[in-house]
Amino acid sequence: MHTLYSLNVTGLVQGVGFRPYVEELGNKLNLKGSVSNIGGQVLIKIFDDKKGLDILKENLSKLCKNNTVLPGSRVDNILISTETSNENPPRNFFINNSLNIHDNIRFIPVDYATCDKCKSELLDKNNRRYRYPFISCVACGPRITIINELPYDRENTSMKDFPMCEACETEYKTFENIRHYAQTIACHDCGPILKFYAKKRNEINGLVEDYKLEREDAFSKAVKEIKAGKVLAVKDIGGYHFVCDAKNVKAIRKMRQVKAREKKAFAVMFPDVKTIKKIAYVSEKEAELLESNARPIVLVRKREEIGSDTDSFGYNLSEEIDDNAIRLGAMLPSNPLQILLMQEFDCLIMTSGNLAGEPIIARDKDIFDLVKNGQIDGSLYNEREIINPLDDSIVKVTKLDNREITQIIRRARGYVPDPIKINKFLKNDYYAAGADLKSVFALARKNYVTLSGHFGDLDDYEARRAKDRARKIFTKLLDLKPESFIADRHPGYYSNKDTKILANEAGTKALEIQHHHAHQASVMAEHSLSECIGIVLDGTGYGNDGNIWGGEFLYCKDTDFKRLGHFDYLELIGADNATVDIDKSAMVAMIQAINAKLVDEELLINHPCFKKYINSASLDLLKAALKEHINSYKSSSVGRLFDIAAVIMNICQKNSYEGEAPMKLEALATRYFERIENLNPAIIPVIVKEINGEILVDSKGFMSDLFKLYIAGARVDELAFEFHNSLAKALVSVAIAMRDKTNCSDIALSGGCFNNSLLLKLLVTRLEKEDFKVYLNEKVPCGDGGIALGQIYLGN
Amino acid sequence: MIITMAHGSGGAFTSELIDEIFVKEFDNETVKELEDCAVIQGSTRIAMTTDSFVVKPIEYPGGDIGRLCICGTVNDLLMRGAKPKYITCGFIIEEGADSETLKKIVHSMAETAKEAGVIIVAGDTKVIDGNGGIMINTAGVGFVKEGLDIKSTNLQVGDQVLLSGNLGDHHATILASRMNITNSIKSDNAPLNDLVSNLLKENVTIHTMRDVTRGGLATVLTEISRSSNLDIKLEENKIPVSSAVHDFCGLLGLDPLYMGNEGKCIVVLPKEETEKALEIIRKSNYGENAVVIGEVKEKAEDKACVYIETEIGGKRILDVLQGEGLPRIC
Ligand SMILES: [Fe+3]
Ligand SMILES: [Mg+2]
Ligand SMILES: [Zn+2]
Ligand SMILES: [Zn+2]
Repeated sequence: MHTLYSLNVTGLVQGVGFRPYVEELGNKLNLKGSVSNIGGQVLIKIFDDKKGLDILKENLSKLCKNNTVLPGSRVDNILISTETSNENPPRNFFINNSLNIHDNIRFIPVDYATCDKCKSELLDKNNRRYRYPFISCVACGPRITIINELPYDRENTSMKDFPMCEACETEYKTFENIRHYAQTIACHDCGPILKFYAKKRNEINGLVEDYKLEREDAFSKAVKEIKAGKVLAVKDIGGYHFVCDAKNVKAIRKMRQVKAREKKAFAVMFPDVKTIKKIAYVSEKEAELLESNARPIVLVRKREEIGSDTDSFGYNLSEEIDDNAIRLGAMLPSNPLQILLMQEFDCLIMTSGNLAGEPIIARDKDIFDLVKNGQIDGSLYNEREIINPLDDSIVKVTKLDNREITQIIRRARGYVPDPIKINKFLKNDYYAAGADLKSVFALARKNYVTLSGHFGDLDDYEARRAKDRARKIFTKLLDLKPESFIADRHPGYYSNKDTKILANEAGTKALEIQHHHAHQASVMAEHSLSECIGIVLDGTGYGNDGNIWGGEFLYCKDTDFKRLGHFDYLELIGADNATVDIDKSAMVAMIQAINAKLVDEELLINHPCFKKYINSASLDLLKAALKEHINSYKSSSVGRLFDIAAVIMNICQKNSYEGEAPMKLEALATRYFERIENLNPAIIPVIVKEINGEILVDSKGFMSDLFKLYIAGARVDELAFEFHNSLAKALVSVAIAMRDKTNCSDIALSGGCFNNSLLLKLLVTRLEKEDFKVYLNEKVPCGDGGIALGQIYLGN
Repeated sequence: MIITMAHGSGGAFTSELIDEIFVKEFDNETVKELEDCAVIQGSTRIAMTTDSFVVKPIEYPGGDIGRLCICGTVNDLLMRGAKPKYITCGFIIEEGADSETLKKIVHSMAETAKEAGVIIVAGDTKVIDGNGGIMINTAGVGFVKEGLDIKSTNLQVGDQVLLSGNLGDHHATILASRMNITNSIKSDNAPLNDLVSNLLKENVTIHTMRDVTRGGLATVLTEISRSSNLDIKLEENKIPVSSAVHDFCGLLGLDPLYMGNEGKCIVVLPKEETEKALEIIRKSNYGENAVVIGEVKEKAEDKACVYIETEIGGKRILDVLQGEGLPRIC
């Protein structure tokens, strides 16, 4: 008889070289036993040797987050059971063929940026993988994006189309090789091949025909084309990018045509942090993020000093790229092909390969179609299938008075599908649908919540398809069977209807959660709170009273909430169009201010943005529509107040992309704030009052005062700053009033408006001075991309 | 004369109302009999429908509730390929209504019935408490030729979707009237007999027809897509909207795809019939702006849907009308 120790290891233990590591260790310790993948966990069996077991366990326990022993891995828990067995121990310690059994919680590895070892091999003339654009090892390369099924073995990934050559197989089987058991192992001889595809006119007969190249020819042609100002599709790990020269204004304009994107900023790839520093400030934390495994797009503060000593990298680089934003989306290469490309360029536009409003393109065929009909000039690609498309992630660092926080704006490649742990055990498997815009869903079991990538607006056909597909494959990969379903309350959301159908099919009813309650709960989930007050500021959420909410003061306890107050309702006209044609919304707000005798109609004629309405049929129509409530709704949205304020200050008259006006307002205010020495006292007296027990902020009065200051000739940048400053000050009064009602000093801030770093800083500083403990979103977006986490937290 | 509860009593006042207003206008042998019901000539396949009309205001640019209550019922019959024959009408009149207004409306009904080739064979009047409003219910009977079966389950992949004219006029007219706004927009309320009978006369194969009323084009097409289990693709730049309606909707944030019409229909038919049908419709009354707006497609995912290809290349999915005017954009 023998004693058999079984270790169940959970955490990020698949696709990171975990088994080879354990095998090596086991053999060093002369253990008899095996290591194998079971579903998403690793099972280690050891015969008899208790001392060896302890040493092994101690070593494994060191594999915490950011460890250097086995980068990318993370051991969360080791469960040991002991039994007596009449099984004969093996002669050594080996990797057992993967077993697939249903088990508790599965962890699917994230994609890893090319590691330093692979990078140096890539650039080493004497290495057999010199300039091989798909080099990877146990510690790097694609994972979730190519996985079809667990366990993470080659035949369950799209690498199955590329059988190993002999040389690779030897490495695969060799201890201490960085590709020992690396499922993505490949080389020039056996792996995916770099290809180039374009259309070319035949010089002789004038016909347009296919033009194809491979390997180095493909690469050098692509480089040549980009240098000539062409727009190419380049295949990345999680989908295609559209790429062009970031210094070629014509190329950038062409890119704008391709994406039907008039002004919104493009992300730019640089070879290294040093280069980024030529045009932007990069803090230590930002550099760390840029170089982190996820290689997200980091929004860094641009240098704006005029005539600075930069070379060809003047400030001029950016204006066409980023609509004069204050921050630039910068990123570093994350795969070998990008590393090779960035040897040829010091900056490239590297924007998601999608058409306006649609999800990222991941199928080669879809790109070929774009090349065929001339929308883009060519494609640099390979034939390894992308199974789970993921965009680049977007993050930024916001400096508060006493600390820096990382705000995640889009949580995708490099973060998904790493689960978020909550301090709550769910009674069964959950599906939460998130919201309809920046749509992200969540699947959860016990205390682990796995969030999907972003799918964009579910009104779009392709976005809906992408989300449906991802839901199915994630459910399969995580081996879940959702029995509880959660959706946003909005009756017009596709996700609301769809989730009800899914719940119905599973023989249950969907739980509907109010939008801002979910926002606040996303913060509570991150920080394990069971009770807090909160200020949730965002664009649009369906309220329990049938109005549109978006400036909410909530008290949340367990899974309930109470609305303690809100921004006073403004009536707006025209559904979604009120969020695009913001000059109209501002006009409508002004009509209400006039009706309330806060503003004299005569003054409007002096304002550049309202002139066109005054004495016109449009104004009569808007007035009549307000009176009869035609296609109108009541809104407490603070997002809309940012829009209206931007119009009042003549900063922006239309949101040609989401958040354009608020971002321009923030940029102006930030530039002003950076120049002033001391914080001004807020000059706009935003009134916070209590009516029938509700805390209300006087939106109409706020906008009227702003208007009057503008008309009186105030400096626009100062006014933009004061808008933020006065808003922050008013919110502190709100927080104090909430604390008085609840005795709670823990305050959560969430909602898309808190992507505004200036507002966040001004508010947090003041709140902390008043002894509030402030909680923010740092693991998920404060915008609608974080809703699904909050929904799950409100389950049960 | 102001209508009072006495006009609904069933006595002398009622007779006066009926004789003076209804019989005079609905001048035909059947209605003059004033019997308990009408006895009329029949057919082996009849189509029947009913609809109630509560539009406010009752008079608006381009029409009134009288014209509307005939068009609505006649068009519903036409959409199944029926030839409309007989109409009955029930009036619910609120106390305080002006008999002059009633007269105008009844006159308009009679005129429209003439235009639509239907006879109003029976009617009823009730007077209720209220503020002078007038509501009408009409029922209609039409005859359907043997072998003609026009319905949404006939849809085939590749079928073309024709729309008989501009969208949104009626809805915009009613909203403008409610706001007391005067502009150039007029209701499109019209009977579509000419258009449909010309198509049938020329033996055009029609798979389905619908009048595009409440809920608008998006709602109607979504219903068809669901019952046929096929996708329908529309092209945004082909959807016809007059510039006046376009501007009106732009300012109020209304979507013409969801606005009601009262004289528009869609015709879905095999591709090879498209050109002929288009030509016929354009030559018919109320069909001069007809266009092809989309195509029936194999459904691409689990659920069939209607989507519109936008000018920038996106594909927006349409659904049935969901409570008006709520934004989704964050
Ligand atoms: Fe939101
Ligand atoms: Mg009808
Ligand atoms: Zn590597
Ligand atoms: Zn090889």
